[in-house]
Amino acid sequence: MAKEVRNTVRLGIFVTVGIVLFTVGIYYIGNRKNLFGERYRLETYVPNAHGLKVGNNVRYAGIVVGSIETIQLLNDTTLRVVMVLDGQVKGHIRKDAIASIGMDGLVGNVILNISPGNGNELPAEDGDVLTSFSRIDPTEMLNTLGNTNDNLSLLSNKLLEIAKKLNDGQGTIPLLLRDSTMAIAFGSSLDNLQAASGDLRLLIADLRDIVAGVSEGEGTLGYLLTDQALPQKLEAFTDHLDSLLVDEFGPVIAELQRTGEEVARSGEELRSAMEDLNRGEGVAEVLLRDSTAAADLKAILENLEEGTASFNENMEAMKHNFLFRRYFKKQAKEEEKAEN
Amino acid sequence: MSGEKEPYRGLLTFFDETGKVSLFTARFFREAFRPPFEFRELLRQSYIIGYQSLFLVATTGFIMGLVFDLQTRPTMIEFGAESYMPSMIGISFVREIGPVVTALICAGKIGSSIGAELGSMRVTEQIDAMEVSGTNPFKFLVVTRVLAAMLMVPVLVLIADAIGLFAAFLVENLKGDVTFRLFFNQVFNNLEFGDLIPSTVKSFFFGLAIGLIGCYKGYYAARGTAGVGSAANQAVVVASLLLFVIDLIAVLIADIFYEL
Amino acid sequence: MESKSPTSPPLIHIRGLRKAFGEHEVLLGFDLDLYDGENLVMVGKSGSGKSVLLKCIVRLEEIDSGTLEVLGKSIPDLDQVALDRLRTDVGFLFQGSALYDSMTVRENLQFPLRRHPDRMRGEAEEKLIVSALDSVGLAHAIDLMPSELSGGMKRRVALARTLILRPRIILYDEPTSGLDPITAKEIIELILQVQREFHTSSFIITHDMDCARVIANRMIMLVEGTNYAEGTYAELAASNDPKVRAFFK
Repeated sequence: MAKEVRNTVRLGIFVTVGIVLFTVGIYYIGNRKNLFGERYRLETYVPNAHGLKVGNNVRYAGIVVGSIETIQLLNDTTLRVVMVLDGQVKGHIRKDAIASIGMDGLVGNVILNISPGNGNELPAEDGDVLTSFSRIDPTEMLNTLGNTNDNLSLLSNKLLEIAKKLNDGQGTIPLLLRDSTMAIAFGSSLDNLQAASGDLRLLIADLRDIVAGVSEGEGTLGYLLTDQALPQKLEAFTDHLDSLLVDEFGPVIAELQRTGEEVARSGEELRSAMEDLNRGEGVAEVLLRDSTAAADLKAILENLEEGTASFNENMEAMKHNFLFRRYFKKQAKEEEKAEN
Repeated sequence: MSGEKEPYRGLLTFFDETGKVSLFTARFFREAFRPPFEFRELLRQSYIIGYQSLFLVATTGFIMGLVFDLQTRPTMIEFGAESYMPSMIGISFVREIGPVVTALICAGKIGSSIGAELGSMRVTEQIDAMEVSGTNPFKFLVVTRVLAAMLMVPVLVLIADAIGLFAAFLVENLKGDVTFRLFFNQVFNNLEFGDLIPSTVKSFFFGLAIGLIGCYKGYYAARGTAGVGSAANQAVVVASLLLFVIDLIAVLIADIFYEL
Repeated sequence: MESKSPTSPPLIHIRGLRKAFGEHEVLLGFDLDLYDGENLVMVGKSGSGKSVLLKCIVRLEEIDSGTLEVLGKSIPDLDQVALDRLRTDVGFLFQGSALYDSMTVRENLQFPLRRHPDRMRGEAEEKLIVSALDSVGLAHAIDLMPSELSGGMKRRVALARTLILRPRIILYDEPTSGLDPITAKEIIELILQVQREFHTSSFIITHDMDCARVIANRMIMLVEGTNYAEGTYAELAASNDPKVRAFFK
């Protein structure tokens, strides 16, 4: 019986020790995850561990590749950190990679980050030393964050003020900003103005040429006046000319005159607007606050456009008229000659 | 063991008990796989151990879910992580709280009732009576109870998990604004078989430990009514202690598998 | 019922049996022979190892050394199957009746039959149970739970349960303990009646001398782990040995 007791005690010891060894064993297996895989070590030297502990994760490009094996205090300013890395990443971490101590989130664990260098170096081998980059520690980080926060709040206050002013309609920009139709109208007005003035210039040049041609006795008119061989022809065509001058040219001239007046008037208004603009009161102030002026300007521009359009039509008609055909042909020839 | 030096007495008793429990466990596995099998008794014990513990386990699971959620909520809100509540509760309930709390409740209820029942059967010679009437009492009493505990504890754990999560949902729904579907979608999105399987396997071992210790203490209860009481008491104490040892080992093993 | 038949071999044959629990020695070389048809009563102080001896006979306890033969078979050498077979021939009435609390009376009686090699089922089994209960006068209690029975009734049901396998030997462990004198007397009557009816041999341990006086063909006294004295009730009552006399007070 006593022997039996001794046997159960022996078995008890065996079982207890077995369980303890098993537990410790799997604890170590759990800790050293790659017990059976290939592993290698890298070192780095840092001035401050920032709370890094043995067993903390090592990350490369954001993935866990190993863990910290030892942290050793070498002297008053240098710590030696040895990390054990998974053999699978061996080819990827190069000798110029940079180790830095960081945080896994704001309240997370401290980790060791390895960032790639420029990638020209050879892969790091077992026992190589990586350069370290000292990161601000969490408290500093939080301080900086605090400062940034203060600045941000100042900035946002200013922004708030501006926004408030904008809403209240103070200043010049707000007006422009607020009235979108005005802006569009203004834009198209300016376009029209530009086109109109271009057309006007062409028109005036043409007119000058015609008048010059007539006075020199050249061109159709001159030809007609000097050609005496064809009085009948002239006679026959007097009616045509009359009707042409009265029916066609007359309205053209009248239109031209009216256009000119309107251009002058709008030019006046434009000039004053420009002056205002120059004085710094802004276009908006003048053009846009006064909606009637804007409407006028728009009307003017439209008229101008209409006028030039009909003038062009008239000119085209004149070109095709036999009386003026010669003049135009000649002119074309002269142009050709000049080009050659 | 009498006449031993006093300081070693406790240690010796511990090792002696460990050895005896080991033998008992070995005998359980030997007998469990050897016919004849007591299916009817297994069914009856499963009913007693499983079904009759249901109310207790459900109630504690419900309260655990409520309390756990209520306690965690303020902290999570502080971190602005209120939306993580369902997944966090889900994982912690399924992985740890459900199995361990349910197992402890079962150790209290099943362990003590097995300990007391077998203890009183031992004391009133019912076990001897079975033996002399040609029925193997170990097979009839121990194997069926341990197997029933092994089978029922995981089921109870799953039920406690479900009820606990439902209670947590109630809190989330009343205090916050989480719908049933959202809550359980979040819970199940974050649960993996890697969470459920280790905890279920763990529950099997919890059941084994509860059943074995209860049976061992009852089966070898000392004579007299005091023996019954101490059998029930020790069954609970030892089983509870063993649960944590198993839990530790299970977590360590599960950790290895998580890494793979 | 008439005493020993010296020609036939003893049903139980024990020589030099030793049994110790740890360093506490209970039986120190005990000798015993139980012959066919006799009622052997063993008396001894409580804690003297009477129950232990009884349990050794059906191998509920392992013996340390000595010879122990039941029905011609050496108990320590039997394998489980042979032991189970032998146990159906040896009934055991436990001290506290040892009815299974969680089962009805019927199930209690069914229990020894369930692993019996030639188990009968259905009506035959039911008939057997009823007849066994009938023989102890408790057929009406068939669907009761043990907790609903009085001490005397429990003892009767336990006896019925023992009888159901028709054993050749019945071992009684304190059959009258915990019972009032009237009930005790009834149980004693029942034991005698059963013996007549089923022609069993009985080995009864008790410290109740009244019981011993009524039942015993032969008595044996267990003192300090040995069979201290043997004889009929009258012989022992007439003894001058102070240790023997101590029982007759």
